[in-house]
Amino acid sequence: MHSEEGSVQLSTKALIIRLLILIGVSLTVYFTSSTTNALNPTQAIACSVFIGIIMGTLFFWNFRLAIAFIGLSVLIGTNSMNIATFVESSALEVILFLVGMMIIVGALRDLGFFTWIVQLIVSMPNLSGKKFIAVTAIASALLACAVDEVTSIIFISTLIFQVCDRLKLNPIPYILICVLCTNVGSAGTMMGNPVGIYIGTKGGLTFGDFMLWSFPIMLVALLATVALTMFYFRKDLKQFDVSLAERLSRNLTLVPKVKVPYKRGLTLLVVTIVLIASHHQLESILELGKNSILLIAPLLCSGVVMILRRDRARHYVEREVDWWTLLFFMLLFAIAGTLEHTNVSGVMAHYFSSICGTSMTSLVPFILGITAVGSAFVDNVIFVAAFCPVIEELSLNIHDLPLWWALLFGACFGGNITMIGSTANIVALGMLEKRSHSHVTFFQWLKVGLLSAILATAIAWVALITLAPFMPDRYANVPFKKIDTKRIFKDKNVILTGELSVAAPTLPKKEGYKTFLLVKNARKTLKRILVYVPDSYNGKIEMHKENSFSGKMNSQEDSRFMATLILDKTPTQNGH
Amino acid sequence: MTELNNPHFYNFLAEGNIVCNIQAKDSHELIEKLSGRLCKTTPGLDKKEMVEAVIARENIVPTVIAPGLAVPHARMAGVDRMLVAFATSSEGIDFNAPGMPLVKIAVLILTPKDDPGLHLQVLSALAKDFQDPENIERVARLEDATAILDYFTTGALKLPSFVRARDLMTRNPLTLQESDSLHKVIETFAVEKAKTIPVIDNEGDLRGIVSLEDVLKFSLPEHLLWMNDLSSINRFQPFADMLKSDEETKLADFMSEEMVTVDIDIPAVQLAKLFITHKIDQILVLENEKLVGLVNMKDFVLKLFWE
Repeated sequence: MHSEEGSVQLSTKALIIRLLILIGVSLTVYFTSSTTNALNPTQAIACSVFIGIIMGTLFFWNFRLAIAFIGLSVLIGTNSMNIATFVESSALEVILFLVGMMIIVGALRDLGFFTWIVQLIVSMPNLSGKKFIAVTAIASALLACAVDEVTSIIFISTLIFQVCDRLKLNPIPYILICVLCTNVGSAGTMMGNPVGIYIGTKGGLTFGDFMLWSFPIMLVALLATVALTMFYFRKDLKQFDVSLAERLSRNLTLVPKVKVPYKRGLTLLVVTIVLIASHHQLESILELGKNSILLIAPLLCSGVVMILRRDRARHYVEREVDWWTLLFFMLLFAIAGTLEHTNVSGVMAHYFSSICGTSMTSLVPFILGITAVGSAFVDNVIFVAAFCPVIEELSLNIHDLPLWWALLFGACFGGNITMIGSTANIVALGMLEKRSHSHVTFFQWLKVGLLSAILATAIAWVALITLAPFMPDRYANVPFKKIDTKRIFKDKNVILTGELSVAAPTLPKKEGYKTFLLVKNARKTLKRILVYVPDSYNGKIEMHKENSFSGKMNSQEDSRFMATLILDKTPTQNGH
Repeated sequence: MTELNNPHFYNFLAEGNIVCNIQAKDSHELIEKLSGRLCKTTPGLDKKEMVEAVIARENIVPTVIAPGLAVPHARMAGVDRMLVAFATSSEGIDFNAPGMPLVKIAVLILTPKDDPGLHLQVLSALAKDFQDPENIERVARLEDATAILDYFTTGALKLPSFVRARDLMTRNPLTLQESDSLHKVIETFAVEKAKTIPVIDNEGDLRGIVSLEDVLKFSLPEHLLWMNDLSSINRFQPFADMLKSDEETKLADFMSEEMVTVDIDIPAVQLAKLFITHKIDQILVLENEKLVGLVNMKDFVLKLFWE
């Protein structure tokens, strides 16, 4: 379904230059990181290969899959990764989620759902240039939320080409507005963008979390982007009204009115979305692991579709699923897994907190900015895959929810900056070249793209900083080995697992609490945490036995123990 | 198919089979006479069968392959090698080929039944040599068989070692202009037999091709094609009306740029592969990047398998 972008033939000279730059940068990363002792040798290799792969996909976009294959082999060959880590980090659950969604999209197309949407927009009463583009852009963004941004842009671009063909207009402004809005819209739900579902899985975020926090912020950013881009292209939009009036005066409409049967398609989409939306409740009722229903919902729905439409099942799986891209994503996830495996992400997390501290006001813009700029030039999936373990690491002692959103918004909105920033951009430009033989130059895109990205990112920044205090702090499972003097805990909700013993009478007391010691061996040293259990706590506490305790943790200055943990009245089961 | 290694036309031409300034009132009489000559020099041939086969072929389409040059030919079971008889006429003989002048040189070719490709090589070599009408006049004026044989030995008319696009293509094909209107395109398709027509720009450079399918595609909005089941739409008339009332659409707006082009010297085997792999029935032939002709699958098959 997704057309492969035109392959640009590289001259041998250009190929060699790019290859030399790639190897040069990769080696520089290796030598600087290993000579400055910032990383150990394995980490240095992992890092340099990872950078090499990123640059490889940037320079040789058409061979990206080949580069990912080779990169993975190099990582395993240099012992920067083993097969077990590779399998574990390739995020098969995310890939299968996307497969399921793509099959559903194929069925929706078959059932006339997208035809119905296009027909609705084209046959809108009192059409005008502004109305048309505003409705199309918002529809495109919302469609991206419901299915995914690439699907949305394929259908919406076709609509734009049709209308522009009939009105003899230059489609470039319309395509640009819609792509920019679609990228913004893709941050609204976890279906919007592959990075959404990946972040959701890694960060343990539910569909409800997305609806509560990211969807409203996305809506504000979307409206701002629509307004900005419409203002930017105001002259072109005027031409629309002139051409349309001229066409209507000759008694010609844009497209003949036909009745499109949409009910079955709409039902399929609604059922899928409802199932996805209610995953958290279903998981609680069925006592399933976090996000298990979420990840199987598209598979369940597409399975039913493939039974109901038996004759088309093979077509859906073979033609509607973009296996090339999914294979690439799977390898990217695996390759990013090496950063976690060799603990490069730990080093990065430490580096981040050493320059930004633990305050949201500096961490949120930092992550937002870095991801946005990064996503502008390399596939945002690589970027997010590399950043997720860093945020996981940070989430141990930092209020993490705003950071996940910052990562999501940075990755989605940053895609607007350049024409290669997101898959939707590349797909839309490919269609533009094929259909209307017009080209958009790098700077033509950059001007409006950068403006809209800055606007949307600024909105996300302000919104996240304002909303951060209202976001619940989630419980982080903190392993004892991750507790050290470098990591500062400040009123952080954590879950600790260790043995509880009675505290010596000399330890500090707290009014209304009983004092215990939580102990566990970590890296051959005994780590102790002071635990305060409320007097009113009725739960059963078994001494000298491994147990999980949840509560608020604070780093402690006292050298006899690492931190204090104030146990909650009711230990929470949830947390990731 | 036999592929010869640098064969020359004169290898097949015997002095005894050359008739200068032949007298015949039409093509049939000429074929009679040339066949008689062949039977005289080559024992074991059935003249009646030969004349019937050649005339039968001639009746389908006249074999005038260049102005003033006719190549009546047939395949025969009893023939074990290629036989050639050559005739010139100073006044010219009518072959009933529309738009072609009287024939001044006629070459009768008989090929073995199991070697249908051989005569194509001869045809191609002759067509190339006699492309210039002056050459035909010159040979037609030669006085005796020795001089004619000399012409071919010194000129060394070489047979190509394999069949190429140039031997199979139709020259000067029908084209449309990029700026032609939708109406003109439909009209052209209605009048002409062609299924696909190459599209050129003002400078004569090839820009694309257009087929009836492209016209049809333009009438039916793409978003309707996404649906698997169109049973909810009964009337096609609104789409047809919209197309008919369209006045400003130019061919460039809906032509297809995906076309298969080959160089004029590409071997037939590659053409065959292109026909099959691209599922097309027409290949455009370029010479120095300009469109010079096209090869139809039907012509290709008939020339190689049937003639």
